[in-house]
Amino acid sequence: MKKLFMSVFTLLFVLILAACGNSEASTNTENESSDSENGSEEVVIDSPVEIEFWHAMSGDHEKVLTEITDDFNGSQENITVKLVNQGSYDDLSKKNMAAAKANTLPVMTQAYEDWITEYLQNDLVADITPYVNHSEYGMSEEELNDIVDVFREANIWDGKYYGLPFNKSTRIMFYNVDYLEDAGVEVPKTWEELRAASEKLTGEKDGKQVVGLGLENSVTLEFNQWVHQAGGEYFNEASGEFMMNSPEGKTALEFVNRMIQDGIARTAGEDGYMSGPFTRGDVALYIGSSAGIPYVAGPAEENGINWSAAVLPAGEEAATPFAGTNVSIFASASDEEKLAAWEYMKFLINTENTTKWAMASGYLPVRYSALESEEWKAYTAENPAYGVGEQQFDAGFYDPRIVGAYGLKNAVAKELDRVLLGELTVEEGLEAAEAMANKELGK
Amino acid sequence: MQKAALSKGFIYLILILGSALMLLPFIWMVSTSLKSAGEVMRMPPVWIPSDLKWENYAIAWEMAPFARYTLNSLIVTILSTIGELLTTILAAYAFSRIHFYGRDIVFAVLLGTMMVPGEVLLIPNFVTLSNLGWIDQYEALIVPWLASIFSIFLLRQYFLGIPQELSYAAKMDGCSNFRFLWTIMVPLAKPALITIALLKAIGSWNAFLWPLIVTQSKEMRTLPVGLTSFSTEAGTVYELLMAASTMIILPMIILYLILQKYIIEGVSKAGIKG
Repeated sequence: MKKLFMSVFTLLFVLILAACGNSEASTNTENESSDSENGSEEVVIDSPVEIEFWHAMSGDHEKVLTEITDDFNGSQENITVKLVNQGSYDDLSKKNMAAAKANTLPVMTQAYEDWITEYLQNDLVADITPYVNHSEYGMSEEELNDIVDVFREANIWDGKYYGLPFNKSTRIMFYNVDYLEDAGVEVPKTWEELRAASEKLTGEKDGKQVVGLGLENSVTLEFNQWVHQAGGEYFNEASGEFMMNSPEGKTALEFVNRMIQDGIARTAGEDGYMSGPFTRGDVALYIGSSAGIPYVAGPAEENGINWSAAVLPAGEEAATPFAGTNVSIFASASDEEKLAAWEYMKFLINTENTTKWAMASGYLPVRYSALESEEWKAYTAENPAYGVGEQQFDAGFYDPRIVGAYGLKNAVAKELDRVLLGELTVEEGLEAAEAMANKELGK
Repeated sequence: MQKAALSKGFIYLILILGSALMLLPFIWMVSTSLKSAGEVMRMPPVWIPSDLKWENYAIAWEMAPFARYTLNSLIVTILSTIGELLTTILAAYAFSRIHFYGRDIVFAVLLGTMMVPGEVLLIPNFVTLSNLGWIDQYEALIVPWLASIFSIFLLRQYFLGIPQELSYAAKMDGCSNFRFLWTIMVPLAKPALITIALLKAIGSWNAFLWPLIVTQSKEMRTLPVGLTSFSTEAGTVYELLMAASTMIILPMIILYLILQKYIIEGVSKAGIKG
């Protein structure tokens, strides 16, 4: 037995040494695509091309995406797009990484901005600017500017396009219409009003304890919303600095923390999502993703909860984060495949399809012309909650597009959670958050 | 007598409480699978839905090609369980009964590999399979799981507990290693083998990440992958997810009920049978 243990230890030691020696060697080499796709060679698709589009849309979302894709496949001769569902975003990201190592990347993928940054650093993602500007199959100035600014800009790195926006959501404020009416409270438009309304709405109601404001468990993960509303900045992409440890960051954290400590705001707790407590009537207001609308609508109707939604209350300024993914083309694809993918992307987010997509999925249309369409207008008149997102485009901003943005936000969220749990003061929490952020950024 | 009955009653009470606690999640699962969307999130939890929504099962079954997934899950589970049993029996015998040069070092190396977390192996394994051209094939779902160090270790310990005298006697009678293994050792180790098979079957049946990573087409996917159809980034349709989960878990529960007497034997006995 002793001999066995000794040999196991020796072996482990050798393995560790070997592993340390190897970590240097894992640089990405295989990248055979040339960067000279500036339309010097005219590419035409005159024979059948099949391209794969990896995505993370499931359930009803997948059904609509399949419909639009079938339409595209039927609309022309040679291009066939094959949809491949890869599970959750997290699974898709893992799979893309595995496929990149194995040189089996698909032609297209859904991707968050910070993923694209990472792909960009490893030369994996194709610059689609030549396609955007192409005289024949590109987009006119008008068509390009028709894409909602905040979504379009999120896909530009150093003046070049690396993707087009596809499924985008925003954060909105749901409210319980009856509770507000009973308490004589107007829908809050500013932080002061939000606090006053939450105070007034907290208390006994039909034999249950109602809390004024409901926040998602991920409130600390998405704290950039509050920092921007306080007039500050969460992270500066250009300088690569974590900016929240500032007077504005302090104001934001203090504001949210005080409401939680005073018992007029709560997080979702064990349910994970606030849609549960909100549709039970446990909270009066609820700030969450517009992608949650379908999860509110059904149960609310069944439980007789009369609800609506409004834009986020403004602090020093109005600020609304927009999230969701884009469609990108991998650099490993052949020229024909890239062109085929480009044709599909144009189709996917044309006015008609982005409207259809938004109406069926609960995401936002990504074109101004779609917002103007009769269909959409009728739809939002019918379902006002879906019309809230577009009222906030001017106040929109997007997450820092840095490699490991998710890890950074997670590290910061852990420290902010400790503040909300009362373990740290606001100042201590911000110090700790900055330290963790810098550690995460390798500073 | 009185005393014995009392203490027995007390033991049963503890056991009943314990089993109720263990069963609670299952009961919640079945009950939630029959609720309406509004009842799922009600607090305190609803245990008996006001009206049983059996259609949840039909809707859930329609959300993904579950029939095909079931077939794939069965193929993968059965083949990888049989395959693992074969490799485990041969390896455990070699490590417990055959003396060869460097045996303990080899065994130590194998045990060492158990320390490597599966996540680390994900990408290298994917690359290997990709080079073999196995992505999106049954090979990718089965071959990497045909050997388990843990099972080999478990069975080796069990084999070591079987008296050496048996093999001496068999050798005297001119029995080959191979024949001795299959006619004497394997029947004696039945409880351990059933435990290994069951652990493997459950693991294989419930595997999620690996099948998702190595398959591309809907035709090749397995049941747990189908469960992702009920979740999006903004929430989960619990009543449908639980309906699908209930259907998926049934075969494993039935298998366990059939085999449970062997499992208890495998865990509680050191494996000496006359």
